[in-house]
Amino acid sequence: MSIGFYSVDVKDYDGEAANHRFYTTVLTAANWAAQATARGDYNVALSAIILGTVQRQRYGIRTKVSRAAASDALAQRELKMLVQYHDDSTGEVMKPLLLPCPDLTNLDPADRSHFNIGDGDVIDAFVTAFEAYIIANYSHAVVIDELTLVGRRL
Amino acid sequence: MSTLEGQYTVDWKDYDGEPTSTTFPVAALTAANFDAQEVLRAALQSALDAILLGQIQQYEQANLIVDSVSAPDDPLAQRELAIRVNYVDGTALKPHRTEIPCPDLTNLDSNARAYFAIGDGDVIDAWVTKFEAYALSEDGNAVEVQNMILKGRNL
Repeated sequence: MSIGFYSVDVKDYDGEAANHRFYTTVLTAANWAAQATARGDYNVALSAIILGTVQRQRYGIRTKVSRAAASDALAQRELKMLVQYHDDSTGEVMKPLLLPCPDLTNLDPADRSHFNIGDGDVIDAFVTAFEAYIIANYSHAVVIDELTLVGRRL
Repeated sequence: MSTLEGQYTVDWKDYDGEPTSTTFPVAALTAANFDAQEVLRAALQSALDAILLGQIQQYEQANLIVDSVSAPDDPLAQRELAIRVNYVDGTALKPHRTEIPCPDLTNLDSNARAYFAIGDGDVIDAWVTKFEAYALSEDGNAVEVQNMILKGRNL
């Protein structure tokens, strides 16, 4: 089930943050322009009744999939896959991402702290999909450097 | 000047039901790239499902606009004050509420001093019109504003 949402962060006189949010129409390509108009109109009307400064607006689509816990006992958020990648245009190293509950059967037997890139299996499929969708610095393509198993400090 | 960026956020639960999430930087959604971005998102999510053992709970595709980092100049802008907006699902009549921080108290109704003045044709009415045009209930139905009350911290 999908629902649209709109969220506004407001700062007050002493710089304290507050938030205002509600549900909206699910965005589509067809209703994009109409929703952009409604959002803009709303924001103008909101600014006319508050004294705080709008800091950030966040809008989009939320899709609920499940409320169940994972069925595999090896699914533990204490384990993460550290995704290190860089901006393919500038070479800038980007802030790493952490993916929870990695399947450890995909670790590289020849390099046991890293996930196996280059064997043509599911990790490679992830790398391809990641590099196609994720961007750096608003528009640049990215390249994954390595995928490392990390966890809590012992 | 404002900035616009896209975000893809996935929430999971692990085996003992603990929540965890990751937000990926992606291209901002537009009418022109909307369908193509959905294809890329679905491909990444499918690839994530293949390498992670957590149970996905929900995901969000969002645009984030950063408008300002400045605090307002008016000392009456205080987040300790808020408008509590009570509204209902116009179809199911289910009640909802949202809160708006830092209200301008000059819009309070002089005849009902805890409430903001609905019906005088001024900025509160304009806000109600725009809110009802844009907001939906959790079930996806149009909404109707019932009243707008000044609230603060408990004394």
